[in-house]
Amino acid sequence: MSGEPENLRLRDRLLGLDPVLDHLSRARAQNRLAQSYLFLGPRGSGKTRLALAFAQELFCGTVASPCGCCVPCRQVAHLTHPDLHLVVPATREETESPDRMAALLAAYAADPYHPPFGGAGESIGIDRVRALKEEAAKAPVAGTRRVIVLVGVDRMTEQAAQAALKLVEEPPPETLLVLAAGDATDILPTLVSRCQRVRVPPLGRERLHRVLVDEFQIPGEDAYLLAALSGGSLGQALELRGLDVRGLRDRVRAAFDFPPDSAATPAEVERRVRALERAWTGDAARIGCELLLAWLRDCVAARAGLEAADLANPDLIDEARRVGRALVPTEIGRRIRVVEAMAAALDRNCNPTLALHAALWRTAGGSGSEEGFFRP
Amino acid sequence: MKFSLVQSELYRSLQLVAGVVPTKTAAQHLTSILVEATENGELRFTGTDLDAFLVTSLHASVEQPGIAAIPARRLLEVVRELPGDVVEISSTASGISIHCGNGRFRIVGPDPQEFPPLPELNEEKIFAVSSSVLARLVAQTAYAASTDYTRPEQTAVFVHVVGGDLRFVATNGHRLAMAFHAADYPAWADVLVPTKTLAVLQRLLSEAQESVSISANKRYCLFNLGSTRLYTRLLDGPFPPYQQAIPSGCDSHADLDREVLAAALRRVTVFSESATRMVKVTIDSGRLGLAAEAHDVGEASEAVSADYEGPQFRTGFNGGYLLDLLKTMTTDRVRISFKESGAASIFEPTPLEGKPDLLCLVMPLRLQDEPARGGETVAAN
Repeated sequence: MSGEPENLRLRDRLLGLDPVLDHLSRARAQNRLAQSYLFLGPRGSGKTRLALAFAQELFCGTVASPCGCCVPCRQVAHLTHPDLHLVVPATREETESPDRMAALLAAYAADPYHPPFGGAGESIGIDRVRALKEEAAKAPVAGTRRVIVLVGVDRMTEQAAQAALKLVEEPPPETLLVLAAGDATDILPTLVSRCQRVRVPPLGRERLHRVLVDEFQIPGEDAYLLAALSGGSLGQALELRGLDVRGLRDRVRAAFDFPPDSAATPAEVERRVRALERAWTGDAARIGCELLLAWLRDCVAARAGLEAADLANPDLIDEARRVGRALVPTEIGRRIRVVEAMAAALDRNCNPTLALHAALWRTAGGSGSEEGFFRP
Repeated sequence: MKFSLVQSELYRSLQLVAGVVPTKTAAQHLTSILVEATENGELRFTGTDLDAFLVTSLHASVEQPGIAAIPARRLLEVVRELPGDVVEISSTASGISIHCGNGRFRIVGPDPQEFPPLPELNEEKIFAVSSSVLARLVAQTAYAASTDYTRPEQTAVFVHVVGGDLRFVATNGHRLAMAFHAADYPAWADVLVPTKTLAVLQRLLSEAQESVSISANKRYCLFNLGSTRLYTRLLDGPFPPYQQAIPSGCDSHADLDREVLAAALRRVTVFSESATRMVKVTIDSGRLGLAAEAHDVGEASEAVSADYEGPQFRTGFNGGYLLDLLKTMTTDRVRISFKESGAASIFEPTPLEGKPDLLCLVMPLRLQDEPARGGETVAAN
């Protein structure tokens, strides 16, 4: 009824994760498939895409599996396959509203490169695990296999994780469980031990840079900065794409650019806060911290003689060398700690303007400024 | 796709199918009804919540065969308000067009390919049962199933054939209902049918006149009512070994008037504790005493006459459970069989002739002044 793209083969959207899928495909071909997998990798590294691509292989009814064109392949790509269950962390409002949950999943189906979750207050509660268990007690709808993909299991509530234990340990024979998380240390150990772990590595800066330029038509310098800031994670890089990252970087850099051993006046700090505070909200403030940290590390790297290609901000190599020479390493280290403390304060929902004010004051105040301002 | 039919027939079919279409779901493609028009003039409507598929067919004037998925709620809302005239429905690239009288409506629907496929059942294990018998078997058992989804197998009714008898069994661990129909049924699969689907079946059976054919495989069970078919996804077992729970050697019986007992229970249960709904039952020669008390409500006691000669027997039951089972009986008399306090008691209708076709089992509640007995369950729900 509506215009569809010709091919919805999710394997083609893996962008560098093919070896991991090949590993799973080989296990399937050799009949060595585990019942529960735990995909581990940074946020945005493609764990959900990988799980769905594998689900497409399992559900595709053709020899050239996955074909990307048959009905099951299309249903997996649109997240409408009756035996595919994708559970992502969600806010209470989203969980309680089927329409909002439907919109969340539809948005992910339309753009699978964006991580399907990531906001504050998102979790997987016990009710959603119970619903999965209820589903698992029934026969699959369309075929002989069911795939349950639980994304962000590190955001499961403890009750939900406890409730999921039995399902993960002994899923019904036709059910394949794929759990995904950033780090196994944040998951109930008994849950981890019941799964076969699969590492989903980030693409790496160079590879991601090429992907951003070739597949997403992002200009080279912007792509390089995004690749460096996202730690090689495609999803995180694409999240940053919507922001004026270079503009933000330059404003943050200018605000924190204090000469060594020259204590600034309160009025000067106040002026810099006012210049930045409008842009210093929510995610932008957190990203600003990352940008500033990347810049300060670049200064250390440039001082140590590294080349532009080794920096997160290769376009600023000359400036990084100048600042690196002007500031002693201990001073750069101190400024890095100040920014890290500011980032930690923002993570604790501290007022962004207050955090910025304090960080600027500490940076400007030199080594004698008060330590531990942000300590909880 | 293009077809036309009378509004009342269209509305009736849509209303029937919409009964299984979920209204609150994140799977938006399931909120549609699949409409198929075939070359031989058959019109098929399918709705599903993935647990049940309901398909109803009727004849219509099909101008162009085809298939479309139409959002159920909007379609129903529009068709309900149409004048009793011929309705013409056609699918176009931009959606579904509905023409009736001077009205023109266009509904945007999802891709019909997104709609889950209808289950495939080979009809080898198949038998027919009269719709009235099926309705009785469902009504007398489905209420007793559990609503606790941590034990999914107890949220279903166990349907099987034993020695030629068709048996429906449901339990929640504290009560059990077993209804059967004695006939020469062929050996058949043991299936666990979710009570949610049986509620849909009951609605369908209330209008059905003919016999219903039932077939099943490992995943699905099909109730074929002629022009309407209900597919239900089955639950994985195993069902608890219910036969072990039925006490043998219950040689004490009390026969009572069912209506009189139910009326007394309805009055006394009002005064029971809300958590347990406990009613104390004392069976003595010629009478059955009922008593209940709740410290914040009050107390009640009432006696009804019973055909019983023997030593006094005291126990406690969930009054709600007793009322539920008495409601499903149709006979004038009911027989209570018991062995000892602390053991389950059997409630059976006493037909004028022949054997009872229903057996209900209720676990007792422990009375406060009763010493604890090993292995007995105190039901709190």
